[in-house]
Amino acid sequence: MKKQFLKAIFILAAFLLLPGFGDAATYYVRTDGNNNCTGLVDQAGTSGNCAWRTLQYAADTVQAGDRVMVGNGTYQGFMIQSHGTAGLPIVFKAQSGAANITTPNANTDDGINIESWEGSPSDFITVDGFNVYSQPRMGIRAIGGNGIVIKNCTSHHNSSNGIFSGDTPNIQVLNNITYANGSSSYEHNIYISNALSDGSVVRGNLIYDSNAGNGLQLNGDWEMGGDGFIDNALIENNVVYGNSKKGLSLISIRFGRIQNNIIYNNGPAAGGIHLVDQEGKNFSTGNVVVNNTIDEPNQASIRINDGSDNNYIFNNISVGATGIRFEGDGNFQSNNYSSDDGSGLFVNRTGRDYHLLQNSPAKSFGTAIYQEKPAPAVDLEGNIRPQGSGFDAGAYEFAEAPLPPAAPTGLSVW
Amino acid sequence: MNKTVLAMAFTLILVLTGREACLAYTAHLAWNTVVDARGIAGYKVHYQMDSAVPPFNGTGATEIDLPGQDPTPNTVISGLDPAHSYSFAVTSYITVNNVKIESAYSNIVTVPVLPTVSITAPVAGSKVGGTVQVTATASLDTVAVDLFVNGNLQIPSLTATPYTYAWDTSTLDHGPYSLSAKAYYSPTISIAGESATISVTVVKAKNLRTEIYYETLQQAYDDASDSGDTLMLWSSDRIVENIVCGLAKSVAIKGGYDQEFTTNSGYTAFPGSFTIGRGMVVLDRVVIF
Repeated sequence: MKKQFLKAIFILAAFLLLPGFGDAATYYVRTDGNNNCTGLVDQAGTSGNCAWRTLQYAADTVQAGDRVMVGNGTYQGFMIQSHGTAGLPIVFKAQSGAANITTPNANTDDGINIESWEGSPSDFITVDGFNVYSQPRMGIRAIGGNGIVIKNCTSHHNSSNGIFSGDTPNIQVLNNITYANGSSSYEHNIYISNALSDGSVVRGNLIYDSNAGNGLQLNGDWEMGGDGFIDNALIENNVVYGNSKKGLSLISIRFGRIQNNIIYNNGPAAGGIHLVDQEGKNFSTGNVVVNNTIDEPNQASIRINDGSDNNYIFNNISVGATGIRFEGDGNFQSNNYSSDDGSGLFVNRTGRDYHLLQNSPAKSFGTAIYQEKPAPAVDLEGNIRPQGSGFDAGAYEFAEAPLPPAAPTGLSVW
Repeated sequence: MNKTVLAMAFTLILVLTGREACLAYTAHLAWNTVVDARGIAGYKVHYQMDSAVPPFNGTGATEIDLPGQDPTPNTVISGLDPAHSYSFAVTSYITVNNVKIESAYSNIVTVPVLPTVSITAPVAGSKVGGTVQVTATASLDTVAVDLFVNGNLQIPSLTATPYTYAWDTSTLDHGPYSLSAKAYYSPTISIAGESATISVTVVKAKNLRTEIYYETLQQAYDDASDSGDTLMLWSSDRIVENIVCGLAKSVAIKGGYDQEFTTNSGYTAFPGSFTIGRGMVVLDRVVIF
């Protein structure tokens, strides 16, 4: 009787200690690890308490709330089909920023592939800090999951997109560097697609020098099902330049905000920012384009095609001969500062320093609110707006030296 | 050899400074609150030693950050050296993008080198009784002197030299007492130089023959020889004891003596009982009641 009781306790304890049961686990992957290890200790080895060797083994093992810390070195990519939850995401994190993925995962031609499968969406997966390049297709790909986060990654020289998502509600693409993608196709550095991608956030990315496509494209794409719109996207604080076609290609998006972006020297194509329809349907509408600095000598700074309406365009700086171009009616614009050559506006336009000069005419040119749409409360660098007599136009608020407070009086010492 | 060198160095330091080692002091500061629509994020107190020239950022300068908005802003700074002057100022600041934007200085208040003061009478370690003249000597920059017994202010703001006070010990218990003084540089500021504290002992009787002081008359009687010793008491003193003279000895108890026990022209009071059981006791200028 006593032995049976002890055996039961032992079995229960062993069950509780299983990875994935109860508290989330932190696993480690290293180039000198081994998949026979427990993965629970960040050290080299072939068995026992040491790190795993492959990202794919980690992807096949992790459960909600688990973290996978990846050491420096070069790895084969991975495909993950499990899922986290809003409170317990699965996180893959490069520990020191030098975890490189140079060969695709074993299942698709992508470096990292977050792939939902029928009945099991890959929700709440975070990929943080990887360098992914030279993939036969996409650098980082996400299909069908909710709450996916791709941040602090560098993705370049991939044949297709640097970062791609399809039908990914509330995806966050944050502080990534993407360049020179689309080497063998008309594809974009970052592409968020399809109608389920409502609530997408694209913030703080450096997006440049696409080979053939756009810098960033969002496309509700009615041909792929759903309502054919991406709603409530937030695209802010990105620097987008030198891409082969458009800076921001925004197809069939509704009620989004595009703010505090620096966009320059893209194209020639439709525009630095292009609000447009998909094959004559699902015109982009209800978006706010505010406080962007756009310097496009080869194309329109902002172009809104005929049929896209109820978009609010204000507080932007537009540099270039074409400027802001409305091809149809029904949109609203105010307080945009336009200039053919940008003279007198910026600290160093040639050096791409788009901070405003002390006497820039764009200072206090903006408005706090337009058609009940507020300007952003902070600028690209997080500085509070306004700092002078009014809101500045463009992505940067001029940092006025604030007046000091009054000196105290009545100091007594006793 | 080393001890000799150290002793010489110590002496040299004393000569060069020209002032006695003084106690560190504490300054209390207060100022008017500043109102700003952006919100005052805090104040900074700036002070520096031996210079009133702003900004206070040279050698001996100190800055104290006091974040937060206090409706009655104030602070306390301790450990200040009385042998140096200190100049104080306050600034207010706001915070913009995590950067503190600071105001100009407030009015500057300078506390000079503090006056020096010492107790020159009675001498440290002396036996005293009756009415004692306590005298303090202070440096010329002094405008007022306070005298303290056991840390309690006895008489405030002596403004003229000699800074002296008639300390009546007649109602005090016998035993050790500490004497000290403070010397002020301003009639309106409570910062003061402080003297070293000296200790004296309040006694009640002295044997004329042996010149030994006694804290109680009973002790003096018990210790007296049987050959006619005289026990002297201070004038106006109150001997709050119940005296029992029960030994076969001849003792004279004389009251009313002056501070030096040289002449007795006053009286000494005995509010307690006085019992003579054996021997002979001569009472002179004592009042028993």
